[in-house]
Amino acid sequence: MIKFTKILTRPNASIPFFESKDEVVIAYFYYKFIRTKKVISDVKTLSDDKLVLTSVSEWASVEDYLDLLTNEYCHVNIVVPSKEYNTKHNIALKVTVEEI
Amino acid sequence: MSYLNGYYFVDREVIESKVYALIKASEKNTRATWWYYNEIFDNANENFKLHDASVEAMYRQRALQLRESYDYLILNYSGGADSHNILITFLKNNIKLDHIFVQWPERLMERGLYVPNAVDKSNANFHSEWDLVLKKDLEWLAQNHPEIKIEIADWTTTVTDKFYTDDLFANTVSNLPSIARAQKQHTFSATEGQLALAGKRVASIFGVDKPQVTFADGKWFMSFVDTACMAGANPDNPNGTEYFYITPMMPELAIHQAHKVAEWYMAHPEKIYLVRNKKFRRANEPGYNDMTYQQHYAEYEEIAEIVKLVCYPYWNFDRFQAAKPFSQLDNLKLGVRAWDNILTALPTFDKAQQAWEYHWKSYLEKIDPRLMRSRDTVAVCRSRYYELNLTSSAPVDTINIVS
Repeated sequence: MIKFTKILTRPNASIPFFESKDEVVIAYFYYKFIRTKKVISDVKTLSDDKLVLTSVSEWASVEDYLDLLTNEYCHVNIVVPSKEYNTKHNIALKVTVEEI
Repeated sequence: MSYLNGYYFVDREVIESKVYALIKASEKNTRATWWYYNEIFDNANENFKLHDASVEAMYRQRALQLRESYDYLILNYSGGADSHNILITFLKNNIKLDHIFVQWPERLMERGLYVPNAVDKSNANFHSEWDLVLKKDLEWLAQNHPEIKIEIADWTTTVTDKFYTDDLFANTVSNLPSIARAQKQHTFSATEGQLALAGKRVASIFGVDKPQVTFADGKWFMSFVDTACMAGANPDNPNGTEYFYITPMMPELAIHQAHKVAEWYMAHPEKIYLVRNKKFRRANEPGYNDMTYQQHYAEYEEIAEIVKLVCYPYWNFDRFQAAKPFSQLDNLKLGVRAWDNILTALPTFDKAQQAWEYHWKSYLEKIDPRLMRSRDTVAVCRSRYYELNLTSSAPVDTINIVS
């Protein structure tokens, strides 16, 4: 099992964090990674000042996470837009990974 | 009491005849809704847990259920994907099938009224299915499974003006796309009647129908259409008609098919637009409102091919299949479809068509045009939408983790 801790920090609380609203993308992600139990859990917490979003997710294995990283559809529809969004809105991202 | 093809509600009134239901709905300026064992499918859908089963395993269970419930099994065989899948299910699982019943206008086949053509897949070339598919299947079956009785009935023998009565239109036909279909709905296996009258439990099995899935508001739904459920029961065996797929006797089968089809779309997100609800497409898809009939038909065909790919593992996509007879066709006479082209060679055809037109017009003039699909075809009535247990609220949050 592998645990990702992602810390997103935004410059002010009026800028929303990236969230895909596309129902088709959500359905695809669900089918590929949630229904197959590649993603086991995902817990998010927002800091008191609402500037820092901490997301702790557990994946079944490193290979399962690599499936996501090498998935072209997710790359085009999730990874790239979220990176662009974060850059555009000065949202900083820090990631730590640990095997559990 | 069992309702083979369901029934209709107009306000709170239950009406078995679709034609009467539409007339009543027109009088009351409302709509007719179709009931098809809603409570059974609701309950089965809520409790569905067979996600990991294969479609082949489900088909085997259904074939066994039929085998255990009847003394004699007759499969209505057209050579198309639905009935072919049933035939192969019985054969592959070594479950005894007693009889296959084929309806074909045999006496017109040998008269040179058409030339078999493997390239033209229009409905007008429907008759080539005999030479290119059905005849070969029957020869193979006779050679390799001589234990299965083959019965061929020629439905053109009843094409006369006397055939069309009010009883036929009002009470026994739920949908009337074509004269040929109406004839076929009232052509029955002689063996079925004889055995049933002798006290045998006889099943007449129909390959109805492919599941319909819809994606709306991030959720997946399954529904049925009444135009699929329109088999006519043999008067000598009124309780023997069995739909193989859409059946209250094993609702899990259709639900399972719908799950598999929805999963296919989820794995192929670029095709999900095909099963988006119309309201969404009208509002969000440039050009959707300007789509031609041909474009809609091409989408219909693509959806059907996807369902075959997912649900019919034994299907060979190289087999010839002509297009279905749709209503918006070439200014043909009332009740006539492209595949009726060879029927015009029958000396009785013109009078029969006139009789059809006389009767059918008398009903049509009482039906609100808004309840019609085209000038001579009544609207499709859909079952309720059953939400498939395929999504959750979790993904919206989870997508954030990859950002």
